[in-house]
Amino acid sequence: MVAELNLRLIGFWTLTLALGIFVATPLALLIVNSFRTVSVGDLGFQLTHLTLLNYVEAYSNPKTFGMFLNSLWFALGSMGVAMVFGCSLAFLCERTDLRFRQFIPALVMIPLIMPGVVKGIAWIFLLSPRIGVLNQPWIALFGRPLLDAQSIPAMVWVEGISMSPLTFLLIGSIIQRMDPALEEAGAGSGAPKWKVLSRVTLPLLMPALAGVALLLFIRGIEAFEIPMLMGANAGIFVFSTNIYHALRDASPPEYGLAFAYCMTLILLTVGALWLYQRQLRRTERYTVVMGKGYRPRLIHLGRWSWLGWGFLGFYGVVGALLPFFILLWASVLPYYEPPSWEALAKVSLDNYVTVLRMDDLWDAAKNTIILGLASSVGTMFLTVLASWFIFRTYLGWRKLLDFVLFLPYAFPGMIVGVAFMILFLSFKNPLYNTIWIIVLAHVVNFLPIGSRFTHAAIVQVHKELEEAASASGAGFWRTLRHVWVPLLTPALTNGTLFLLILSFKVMSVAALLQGPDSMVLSVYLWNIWGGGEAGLASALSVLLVITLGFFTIVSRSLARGPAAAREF
Amino acid sequence: MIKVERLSKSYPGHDDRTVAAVRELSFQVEPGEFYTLLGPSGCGKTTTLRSIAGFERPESGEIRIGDQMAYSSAKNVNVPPHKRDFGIVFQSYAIWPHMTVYDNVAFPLLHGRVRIGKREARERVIKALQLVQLDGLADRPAPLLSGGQQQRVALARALVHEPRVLLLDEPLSNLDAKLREEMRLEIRQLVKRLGITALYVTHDQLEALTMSDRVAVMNAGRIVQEGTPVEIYKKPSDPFVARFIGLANFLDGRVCGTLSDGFGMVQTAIGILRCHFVRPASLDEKTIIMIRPEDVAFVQGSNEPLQNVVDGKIEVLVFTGDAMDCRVSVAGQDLRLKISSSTPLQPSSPVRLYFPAERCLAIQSGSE
Repeated sequence: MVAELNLRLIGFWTLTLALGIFVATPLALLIVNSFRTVSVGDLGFQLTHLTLLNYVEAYSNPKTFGMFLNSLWFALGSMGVAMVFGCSLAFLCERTDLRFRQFIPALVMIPLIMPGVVKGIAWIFLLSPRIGVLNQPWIALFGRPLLDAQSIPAMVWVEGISMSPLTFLLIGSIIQRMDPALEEAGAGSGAPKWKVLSRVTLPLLMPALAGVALLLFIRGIEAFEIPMLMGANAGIFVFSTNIYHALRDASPPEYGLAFAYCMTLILLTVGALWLYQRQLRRTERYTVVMGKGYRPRLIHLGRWSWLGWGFLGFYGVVGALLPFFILLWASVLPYYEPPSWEALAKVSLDNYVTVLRMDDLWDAAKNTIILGLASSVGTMFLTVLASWFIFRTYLGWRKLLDFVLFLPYAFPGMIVGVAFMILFLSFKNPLYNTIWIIVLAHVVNFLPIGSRFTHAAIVQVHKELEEAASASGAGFWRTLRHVWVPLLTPALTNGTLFLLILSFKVMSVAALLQGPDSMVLSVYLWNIWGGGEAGLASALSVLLVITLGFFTIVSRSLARGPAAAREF
Repeated sequence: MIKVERLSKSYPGHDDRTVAAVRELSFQVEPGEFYTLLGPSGCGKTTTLRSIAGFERPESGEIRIGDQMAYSSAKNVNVPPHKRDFGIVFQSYAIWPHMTVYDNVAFPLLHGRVRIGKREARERVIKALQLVQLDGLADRPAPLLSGGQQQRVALARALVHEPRVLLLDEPLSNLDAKLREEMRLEIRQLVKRLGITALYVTHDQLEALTMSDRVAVMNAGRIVQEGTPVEIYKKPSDPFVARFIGLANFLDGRVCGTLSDGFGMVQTAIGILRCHFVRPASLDEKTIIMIRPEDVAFVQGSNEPLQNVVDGKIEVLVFTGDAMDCRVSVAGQDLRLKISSSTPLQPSSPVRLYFPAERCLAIQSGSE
């Protein structure tokens, strides 16, 4: 017993310290170096060349203020768009008698298949001031474009649509959790519908809605793909693109400046996250005794159901159909031009052939697979161990481990990327410029998400199930083999697939840490696009969407576990 | 005061579970009456109450509250809930967590059917809170209340606008046993003091028996028996009611003797018993005899009754505090008896039992 306990203790501290160092060192390096005058060979923990100049330089620049405003508008705007879409869709799905509304969740999820880069490219085609499909009729009618792809409103629109599925999920579950009797009590008091809505329903939902809005704001602040594709060329920078710019485009890299921006970004997200947590606690205070779980009264749409259908159709069109078809169109043309009968004559599959014949594409594909498998499996392995320590041992410090797992949640992927960049530039090592540094950064980035899955999975395995195996005479390994593995497999598979797809889609870290031999598909696509090969980029986009769609369907049909993924 | 006529409502089976339906249900609650719908879960009692409130839309039938036609399929009337005159207490209390106790109770006055000024409302809210003995807690935020307090706030909110009808949907089932007993009495007294008409829905027979003026026992969307608590308990018309309310022994039998003044002879496995017939029956007809455990008596000594005496053997004897729960086997039948705990008895000892004829109820086997 004593020996076993010691083994647990050693295991626990090894894991906690390893993860702690793994998570904290890069972030500490980032903080320290933001206060130093640094150049490439000089990064590290040395407390020399201390200065506040980075901050002075960053914040005396009037452009910084503009960028700050851009970030704010972008984040707030896309939050607004996502809230409008998410709330309306959730309302239609949960509270109206719209026919076939049970299919709304699946429909809403479809746009998730498209990675940010792909969405960005598609919407540039759609909203380009001169040749944009959506702008052309507008120009013909009103003499000016509807929306310029390279403007904050357009960026807000695209990011807002991208965040709508998440918003829908969060708000939908909030509405589901509300006791319908609370509203009926309003009607029972003699209050008409609109009074119940304004005095009961809305105030009740408000704290939870504010929480969702904050979460969206955080995601808007740290968003990278859309601002990079749609804004950066036109000189519209936000925090994340500015950091990227200072590190990868400037020569020599302006480390100090980038770090100073990173610190502000951290302050913003940590602050918003703190508010979010506080909001969550406030929401929990509103939890009330639940009754029999009657389904709430549905609002009869009647003659207005066409409006519901119209809205769903609109969402489907702008969320998925329009972007996908414009990419499909662009991918079969040698040079992009708006759809027309004349252009139809030029249609060919040449772009696909060219793309598939490019040698480095297959290197990128290989890297992508390595990155996806290694970061998802690695994360799940670490978090399942950690979850087990947190929920199945009574070690006094297990809260510390939980904190370490949660810590990266406060830091945008971009920041983790920068932190790992510093880490691997600070000492000589063979990993820099390989795919493995991206893997490591992804693992750190994914720890909070992975632990959602594994926490839920471990908690769900009752302690008695394990004890029953011991009582039947099964030793540790047999218990592991016959109880733990079968019970955890579904949730772990679920989590792994989710992270696999996520690592495929997230571009910020891979873009920041890319080297000649560590290109992944999303960055590769972005580079082709940046090189002006619109046709090839479209063809590759279409291929990516189809592949991801396939994987998503597979993982959805395999998914039979806790819906921990919902919050991400 | 409440009149329900030929009310029907069915649900489509949603994710493989069949939801309770109400079938051609009719009943009437008199003004000032405390009327209870009693039945197992899924019998349609809550659906009925929710139809009266207007939260569910029935398929056919008619509902009147007072002189208001609240629902009528024939006349195509369906008054929305907020225009019907009632107060309601939910099982979950449904106290709005974003308001104080005061705001919760004031809501019907400030936003309801008949709106009144804030000052006047204040008086009535305080009065309502006094009624439920919560006058000190007016400014407390709702989430900081205990279950029992939430219950009282819900009552105050349901009564503050002085509706003529109070609907109660299993209001006690979330309380602990001790509090439940207290509230049973309190709610009944409150309702009686205010002279309000109350419709109470529960699956708890004790609540139904102790609180109501009249009880309707429901099963599968229909009222099986309606009557005062005493009638329901003493004279169940049907094995379902007998089984649902209290404990009962059942014996299969065949009518073998002439019937006069409601009594007759029935041949059963334990012998011929003189029984009270709930409904007239003819010779040779099959029947079921019900007898409550506490109605069987032990015969000791010489003054032995002439009829309805059988010999048996005590199989199990369980002490339950105020009484002894006793299982006696008589001619292969297992009977359950409840006797005073002071009776000197030994397990496995032979006993002689007496079944008083007026307590042996011959219930038609009917459809069950």
